[in-house]
Amino acid sequence: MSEPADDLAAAVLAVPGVARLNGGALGEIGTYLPGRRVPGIRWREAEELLDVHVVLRHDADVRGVAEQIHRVVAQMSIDLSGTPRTTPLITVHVDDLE
Amino acid sequence: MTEQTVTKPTLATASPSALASDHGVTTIADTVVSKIAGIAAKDVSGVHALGGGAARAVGALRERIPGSRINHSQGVSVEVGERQAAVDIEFIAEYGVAIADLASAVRRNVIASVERMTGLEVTEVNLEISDVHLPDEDDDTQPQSEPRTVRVQ
Repeated sequence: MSEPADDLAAAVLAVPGVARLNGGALGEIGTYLPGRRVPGIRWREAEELLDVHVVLRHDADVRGVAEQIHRVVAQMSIDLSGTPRTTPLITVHVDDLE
Repeated sequence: MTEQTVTKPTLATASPSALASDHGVTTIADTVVSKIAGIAAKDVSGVHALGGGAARAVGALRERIPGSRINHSQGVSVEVGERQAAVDIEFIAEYGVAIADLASAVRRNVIASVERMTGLEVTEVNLEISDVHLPDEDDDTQPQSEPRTVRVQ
């Protein structure tokens, strides 16, 4: 079953320069779903904020890729609680390069 | 599951609900809601087990009785009315999860499952995280599932 978090993860991973989504050292950053997790995509319900944690390729233009992620996520205009939202507040975290 | 449909001869249908019609009402037992809520909570990745220390100790004993079934409502208590339900769940989280995020995921899954399956409106889901489970804490069920090493050919 495809959840909004899966669509978001796929869209972020499709941005050139993104190596992977980062679930944190313990896998704590992510969307908790029945039976599985989507790492790196975190919807903070109370604040209505979306965190995207990524690891970029070593040769990526960090600022440019982050901007591109912002653009891609804003275009999707969804949030993880399932209600449509025009512009979610997104924070892109570049956690590492590899 | 003890779901029963009770038909009364006369009915006062004031508010529209999926469970009340002109030809009878549907009542849903507490067990139904607590089982659905328990399975929905346990399903979320990051939930180790339902119940607190005492409930789990009793549950472990119960499961050893031959022919006994898994108690899906362990650690779950519910209040069910004609149109609404409230759920309290006690569970153990996996070590390393973001508990606040996990709690809201559990809440969302419980509300979705109960509302979808029963038609009851869930007014609140109170969660109590009674412990965190460390990966090296062995469960007593684990030795049984390990394959026995063959020593002789």
